Amino acid sequence: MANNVFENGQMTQSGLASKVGVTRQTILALEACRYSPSLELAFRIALVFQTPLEEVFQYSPD
Amino acid sequence: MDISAREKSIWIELIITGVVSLYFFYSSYMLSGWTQIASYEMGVVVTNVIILSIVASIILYGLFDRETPEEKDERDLAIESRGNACGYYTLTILCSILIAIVMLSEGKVLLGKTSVINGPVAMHLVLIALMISALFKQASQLLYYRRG
Repeated sequence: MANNVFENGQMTQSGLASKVGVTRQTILALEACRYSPSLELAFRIALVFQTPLEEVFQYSPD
Repeated sequence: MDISAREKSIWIELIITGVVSLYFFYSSYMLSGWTQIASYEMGVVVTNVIILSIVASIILYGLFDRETPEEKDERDLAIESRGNACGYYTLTILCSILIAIVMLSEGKVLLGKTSVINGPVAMHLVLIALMISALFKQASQLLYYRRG
């Protein structure tokens, strides 16, 4: 699953981690596309950035 | 390398499990080739194992794990669950092999030859299976933390 969690560069990894209630390593793994988040976490991240879910996370079947 | 407190803790567990198990199996094999359980020397070995694991825990956690433990998030729980599954499958396979070995060994008795698997040896083999499955569990968790 592709994502652009840090494309806008307006938040640190630790800041986002504490806002969505996960560890910094989980945000790091998300950013590196090594971890696909649960639907709930994906919605929470989108909510923090005030953007629709599909703008933060994209799914490609490859 | 960016390593979380939980990952560090698993590394420490892995090292302690490895060191303590190696000491136990080496010492008990040197004593009697794993053929005895209840003896004064085995009591000393078990006491040493307990002391060694406590001392190793104090030293390793004191040196490398000073951070406040974070609450487990969904990724930690997912990795823990996959690690547990890996450990469980390993234990199942090893126990099946052990059962086969015991059955073949009993077959030897029926043929009039001496069985090589007695109670204490079987106990040691079960302990080895438990140790290997614990090592597999911890190693797979570390692998999942690195590879996702």
